[in-house]
Amino acid sequence: MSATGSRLMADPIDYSNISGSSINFNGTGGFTFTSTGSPSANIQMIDSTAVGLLGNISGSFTIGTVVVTPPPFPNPFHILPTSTASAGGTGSLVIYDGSTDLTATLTWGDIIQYGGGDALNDTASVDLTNIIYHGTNADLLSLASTGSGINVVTFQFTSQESLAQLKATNISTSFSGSMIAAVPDDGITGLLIGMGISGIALCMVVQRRRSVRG
Amino acid sequence: MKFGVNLTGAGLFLAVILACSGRLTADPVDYSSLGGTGIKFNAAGGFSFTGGADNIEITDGADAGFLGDVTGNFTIGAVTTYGTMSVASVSGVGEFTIYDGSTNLTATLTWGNIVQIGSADTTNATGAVNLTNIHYTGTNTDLLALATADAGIDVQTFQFLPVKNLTTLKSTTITTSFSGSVVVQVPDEGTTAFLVAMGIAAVGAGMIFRSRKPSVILT
Repeated sequence: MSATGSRLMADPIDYSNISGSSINFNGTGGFTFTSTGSPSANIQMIDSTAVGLLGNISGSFTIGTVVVTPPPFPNPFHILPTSTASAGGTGSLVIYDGSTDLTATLTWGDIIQYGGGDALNDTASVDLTNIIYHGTNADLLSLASTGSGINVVTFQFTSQESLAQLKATNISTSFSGSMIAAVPDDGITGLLIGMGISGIALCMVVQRRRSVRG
Repeated sequence: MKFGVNLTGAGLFLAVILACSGRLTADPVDYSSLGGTGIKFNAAGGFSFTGGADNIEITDGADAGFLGDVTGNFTIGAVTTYGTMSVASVSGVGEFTIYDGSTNLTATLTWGNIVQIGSADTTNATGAVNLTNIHYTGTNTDLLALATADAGIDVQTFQFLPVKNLTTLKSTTITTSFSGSVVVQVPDEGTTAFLVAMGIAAVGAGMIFRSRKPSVILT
């Protein structure tokens, strides 16, 4: 599924924001994740062996130029416009296992809005890098096993703000997310592409020699 | 020309007041799924919300920290695909509950539709009224605000890795985390009807006044 030539591991870690935290849009085109408590936390893992662990997403991010895709015409199913934009900035992800932290560098490639629903990295690109963990939790070890991963966040507004409106509005809401390790393909993709190009070249050479003989 | 302008103005006036016929309260109640819970798809075209007595926690407002429950069995209808987007209707009836510690807010819950774009999914993406029969007799201000309405809107989002379109989702057993927002629609207690009547009366008076004026002055 990934457009990066990386495979995904089997089971994602799913999480939700905790009470007192939110994703906050600042009204000037940026957004952050607010936290609560000490150490700062804004997410809780909801499944797998990491269930109940707290974590924190931090960083300041910026919404780029908004592109609106109009609904199809005719539009018998009343499809709404979709707005998308790049999301710049760099942050970090931390998951506390009680004694050891998992840490990672976080970026968001894009943001998308459709009706009341919004998502960060809906394209499921690799957006977690430098994942480091030296603890013993099985799912955190799995997430950190390759050093990179994919993190997707969804959130919602009943008022159905378009991204253009969202950039100009100071507003917060709840969110949920899923993350999974991205497994490098160890050069298999490159090997297959190379074999394909070689095959095409071979066919062209054979065809050319036949045409010359003819 | 002047008559046309009058009609346009009246039309705009009517459109504005009709658009205001069901106001949304200012601050939605936002919530997220709790640890050990989730939205579960059953591989038979249906979904429900897992967990024991509670599966959501309110994350902001005067009711932050309150627990609640989303229940019911829902069925995804025929899937229509547009590029990377898939949409379907959702049938079934459930209940939305928030516990304030002593009193429950309860409401009847339906989901009109489900939309998938890439990894992201939304139920009731169109923001239609899907909470009815809202009841609460406690004292929490946010819950009282919810209960003053006769109807509300609940929008939920969730996500999957790897990406699953709705057709795949209908045939997969899978659970994920979710978040949601609820806002109420406040009845206007006849204000809209009154304003519409005033608008129509004004348009009618304008037409009568215009018809009495001579269109050509003879000298």
